[in-house]
Amino acid sequence: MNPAAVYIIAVCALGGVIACGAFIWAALKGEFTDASEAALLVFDDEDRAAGAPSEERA
Amino acid sequence: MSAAAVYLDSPPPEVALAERVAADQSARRPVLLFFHSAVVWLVVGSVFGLVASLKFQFPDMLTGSAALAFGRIRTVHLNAVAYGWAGMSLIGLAVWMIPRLVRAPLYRPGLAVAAAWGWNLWLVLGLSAVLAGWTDGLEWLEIPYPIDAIVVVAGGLMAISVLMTVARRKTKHFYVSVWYVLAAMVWFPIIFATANLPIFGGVEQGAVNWWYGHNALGLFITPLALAGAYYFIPKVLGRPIQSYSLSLVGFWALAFFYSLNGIHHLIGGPLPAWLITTSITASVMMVIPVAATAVNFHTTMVGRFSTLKYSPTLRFVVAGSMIYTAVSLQGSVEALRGFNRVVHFTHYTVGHAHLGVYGFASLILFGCLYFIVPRLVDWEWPSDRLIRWHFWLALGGISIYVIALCTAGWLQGRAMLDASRPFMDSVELTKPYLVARSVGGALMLVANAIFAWHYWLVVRRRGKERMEPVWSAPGALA
Amino acid sequence: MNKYRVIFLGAVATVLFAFFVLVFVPHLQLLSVEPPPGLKAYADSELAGRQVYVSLGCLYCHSQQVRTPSFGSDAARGWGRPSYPEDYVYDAPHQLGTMRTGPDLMNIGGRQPSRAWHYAHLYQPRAMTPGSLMPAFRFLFTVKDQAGMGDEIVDLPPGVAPPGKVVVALPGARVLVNYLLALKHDYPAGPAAAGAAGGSQ
Repeated sequence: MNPAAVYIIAVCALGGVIACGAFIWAALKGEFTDASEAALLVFDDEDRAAGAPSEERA
Repeated sequence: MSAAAVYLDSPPPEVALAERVAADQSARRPVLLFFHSAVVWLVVGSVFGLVASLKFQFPDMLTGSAALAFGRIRTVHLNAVAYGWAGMSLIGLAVWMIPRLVRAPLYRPGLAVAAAWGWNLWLVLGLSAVLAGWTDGLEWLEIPYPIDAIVVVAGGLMAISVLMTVARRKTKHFYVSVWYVLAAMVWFPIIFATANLPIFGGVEQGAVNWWYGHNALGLFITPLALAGAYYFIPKVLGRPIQSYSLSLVGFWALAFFYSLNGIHHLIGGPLPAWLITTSITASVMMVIPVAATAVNFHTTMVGRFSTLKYSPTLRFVVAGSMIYTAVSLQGSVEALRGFNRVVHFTHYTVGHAHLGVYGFASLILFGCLYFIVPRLVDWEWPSDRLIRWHFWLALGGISIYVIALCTAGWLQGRAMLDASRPFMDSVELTKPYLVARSVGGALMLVANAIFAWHYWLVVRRRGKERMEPVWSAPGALA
Repeated sequence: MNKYRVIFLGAVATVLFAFFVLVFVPHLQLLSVEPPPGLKAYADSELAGRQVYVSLGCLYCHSQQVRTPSFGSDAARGWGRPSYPEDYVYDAPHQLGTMRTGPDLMNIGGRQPSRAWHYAHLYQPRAMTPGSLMPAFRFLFTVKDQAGMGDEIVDLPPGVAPPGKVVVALPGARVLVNYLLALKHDYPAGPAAAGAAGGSQ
């Protein structure tokens, strides 16, 4: 077999195992639970000195 | 909105406010420095671009010295707009967004300021070297590698500042823009430093060249521009980004597939076939992250498209995001062997590249700057007319440019494939389209100059003082 | 996501994986590439000419990679046999190119062996190829009232040189043409050469 293929397949297999493991670990740690609160982060800031309007208005 | 759920600690409101103001103030100086520099490079780069384009209409123009040769003028154009305009404004954007999104002040802003000066020094020295004939001879990597050491240091300082800010975050979650910024700050130093090492040669260097070249777009310009779009679309609409899952898919699929695209620049070339096929496959798989992002943006925008009438930020950012979808799908098609066989080596590639860096990244950047700059200098943009002109000239310019070059490229490629037609046929038929290209490029230059002029007015606080954004009246913008 | 490590390490992993697949593994595969017997290393004056080629950015209009007949019309245009990795062992920086505003130059030395043609073409491309978009590299030459000892005069069609003067090649033009004439990859390479080598053992 093409020596390049051996390297690629071996590393990909190893990488795939590590990636799956990392994915499972992260999922169990709640990394991928729907964090819709995170989406609200863009609204929490004041753009000027306190009290000034922060967003372009409709 | 429940702030308590998001914050690691829940300080009393006046402390939280003080933290937010501190976060903003910490980033102000470096962000302005990056933006000022970027706007200058935009104008410089655009001028060099137009000169290069006009040399196709007047090939005997400016042929008196090597410094004015097309090969050098073109190189200065590419590096000035890609690293000077896009690179610096994207970094400025990242430095502005991060402290807000992680609720922590910028770590050692002095590092970021030094980084901005270093980045400018790198470009000035590097592009002077190129004009004088000292070049590394590789596309996107022309600046001589000893001079590159300056930006490796500057970029390193920048990355430290941003990464340490993120590490000291006060939020429980990372917003999606933070993922993209963090990743880009990791990716760019790695690819840049590796590709500039003077240890490669032959076809292997070709592979390194384009692993780098495509990733400068895919792992640096694209993630930072997307970070801006993910921030401003919801921010201006007042409506959160629609889907967290799609954001996740979009991010990781981009990271995995985009990084493998590079060798599609060498399809048909003297490299192992499996290598080329891998990049073609990855290029087609890009449909996944691009679709995820497109659906996410669209479902966030849906029902609110009327906001484009009066928000320049949204107008530019949404136009740029739509072009992102289009240019990425174009790229996936371009990578297919049957299509590539025709358009490789032609002006089609140049059209595609400009659609990406100008139509996608630059339009988004303009939108972001329209929002950010008033908040940094505490002065509104004086003229809604200048904004309108900027938008339509930019959009018109890039449209003419891309349609001209993609048409030319297709016809050029077909003529080249037909051995019964002399090679000069493929050159002659492109000429009218190259004129259109100069027209499109001139329109973009005018658009950029208008923006630069307006930028100067606002940072110098010229024009009448306004208490509200210039576009706040419905229908104010055409 | 809320873990810094996940994003940081994930980003590092993806870019290094791409480097592994796109650069490292091909590197291992290319280790076995030997300089072909028919390909000589560049002579000093050819290398100097290559530097001129690189510094003027000829790459931005010319490629140096001949495609197989199934992929392009290169062979039918007389541009040579398909190019292989071993053809580039002496090339750093590579000049593979991504544009063909002008023709491929991988075998230009074989296709156009006339020194005089190259000088004239570099001085004023449109004098040799009407309609050409190539820049006129006038600064590679000097204009004199009469040629001196050892000067290489550029043989131009009537009306191209300034009236009453001769155009003489400067050192930059001379070494550049040395390089262009050295671009001749007609020796066996690729599967044909491997087959021949295998057969002789």
